[in-house]
Amino acid sequence: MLNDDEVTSRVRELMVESLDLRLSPEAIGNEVSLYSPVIQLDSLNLLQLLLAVESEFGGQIEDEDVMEADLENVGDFIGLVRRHVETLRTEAAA
Amino acid sequence: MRTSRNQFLLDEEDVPTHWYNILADLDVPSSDVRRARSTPQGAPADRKHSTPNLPLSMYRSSVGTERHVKIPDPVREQYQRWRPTPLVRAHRLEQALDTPAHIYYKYEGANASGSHKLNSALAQAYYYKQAGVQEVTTGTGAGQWGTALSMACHALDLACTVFMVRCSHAQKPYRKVLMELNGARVIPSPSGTTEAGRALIAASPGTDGSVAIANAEALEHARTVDRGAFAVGSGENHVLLHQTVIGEEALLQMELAGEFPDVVIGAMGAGSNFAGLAFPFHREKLRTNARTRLVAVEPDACPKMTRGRYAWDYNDFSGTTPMTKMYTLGHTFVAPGVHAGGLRYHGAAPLVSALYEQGLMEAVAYGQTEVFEAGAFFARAENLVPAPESAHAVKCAIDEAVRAREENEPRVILFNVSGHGLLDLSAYDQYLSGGLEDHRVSDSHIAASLAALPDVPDTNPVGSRS
Repeated sequence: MLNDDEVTSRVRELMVESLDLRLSPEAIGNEVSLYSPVIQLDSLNLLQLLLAVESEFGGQIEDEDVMEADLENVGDFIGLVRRHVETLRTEAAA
Repeated sequence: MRTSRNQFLLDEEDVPTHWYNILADLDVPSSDVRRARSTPQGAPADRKHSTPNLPLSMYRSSVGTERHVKIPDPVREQYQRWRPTPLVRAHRLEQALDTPAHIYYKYEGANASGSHKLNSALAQAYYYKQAGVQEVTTGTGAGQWGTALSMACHALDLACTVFMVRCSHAQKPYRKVLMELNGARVIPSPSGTTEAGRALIAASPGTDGSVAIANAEALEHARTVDRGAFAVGSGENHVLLHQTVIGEEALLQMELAGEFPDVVIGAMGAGSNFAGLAFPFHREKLRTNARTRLVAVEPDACPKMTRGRYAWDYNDFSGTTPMTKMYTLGHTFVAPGVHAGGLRYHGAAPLVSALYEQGLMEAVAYGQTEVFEAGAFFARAENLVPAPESAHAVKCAIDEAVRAREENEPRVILFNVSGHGLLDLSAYDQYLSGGLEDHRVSDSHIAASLAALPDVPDTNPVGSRS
């Protein structure tokens, strides 16, 4: 299973692919707002991105985890995914 | 079996355990799935947060290709309180028409909301509650969806705010009462409570309103509420998915009747009741090579399938929602204030649109007067007053039965009576007094609203169907 840095890197790649962003994954800093003109996240492409994350890492993200997540910037989204992957690691180890 | 049998009833244990997902059996190009806005219009400049309007679990089941989606046990238990709904052989209607056709209808109006809308309202409320939502907002036309959602929200201790299309708010006051009885706050739309509403009132003070406008207001309101979410009663994949309990039950009931329909008919607003009945029959057509026709019936006051364009368009008036590829009259289209308020939406569900575009179903349009004539004829024959929306399906079924008589060719007709008309009697009163007007929308009206379609590649010209 991927380590945290690898997860982070892959999430940035997924964002570029899923949101059709015209910039490199490395250019998406943690502090970039998800609602900036660069990213333009809305409720629909957030859902599409979450499904892409599930397809990539496996498992299903809980509805309440999405609702509870305070998604302001890229770092917040990466945090949500890292928590999901950590949950998968824990379940796999159990 | 006794050929004079009237009802084909199932046990509550026969309530389906799964919804049917037509994506498993319909070729929808991946490029034709919903896309986000082409420009960030409508989004507040200072937005700092976004939560999905749909719970991820509900969205996930509606865009996958799994053919059968399990109905959550708590939802199925709610369904069992009034489902399965009856399938009825319309013997008296057949006699009145002197037709060799065998006519069946699936009656969805026997729950407290009076329509099929409760099938999805309960499911959605369940998913929203699971996701931690505390208030659900929505737009409603004639009020069946708002009523159903208010009931479902009350059952699950969710707050509910309903923006009701202004002309229907005036025409159907008792639906407002039903919603308020279930704890919902009901606001006639367009209203002064939202920017979208205020802008429209300023631009068009006498507007009848539309579901697209009501949805725009509901969406805006949801964004102001902590843990609020905007829900819709039709059009979206998940709504059509939930409604397939109708068709799944009807398949079992037609089997009890020993017949399979030659034609399946449903009224066409955004498509939930049509899809609910027709989609499972589409699956069986593929499996058995049956030649069953699927027919959607729309008002000529809102003819999106028969005179609209297959194009990318917004689902709400303000252009805030992501775009959907669908048969549309344009998101700024406001249909004349006909009594079938539930059929006044500018666009058809993407899945129904894809089915139509691929030539796998048909669509017809009727005027208001002939629809009410059919509804009244049906009411006298069958002792059941159909909702004005359902009366469109009744009209088409009667036409099919008359053709069967004229061609001396028996056929089996199945249609959906999606709701009762007991809260629409003022409309029937107007019909009886000769006060109804037809509102066939003009070509110029349609052209004007189609001109406002978003500029997205691969828009097909009017009338093109592959």
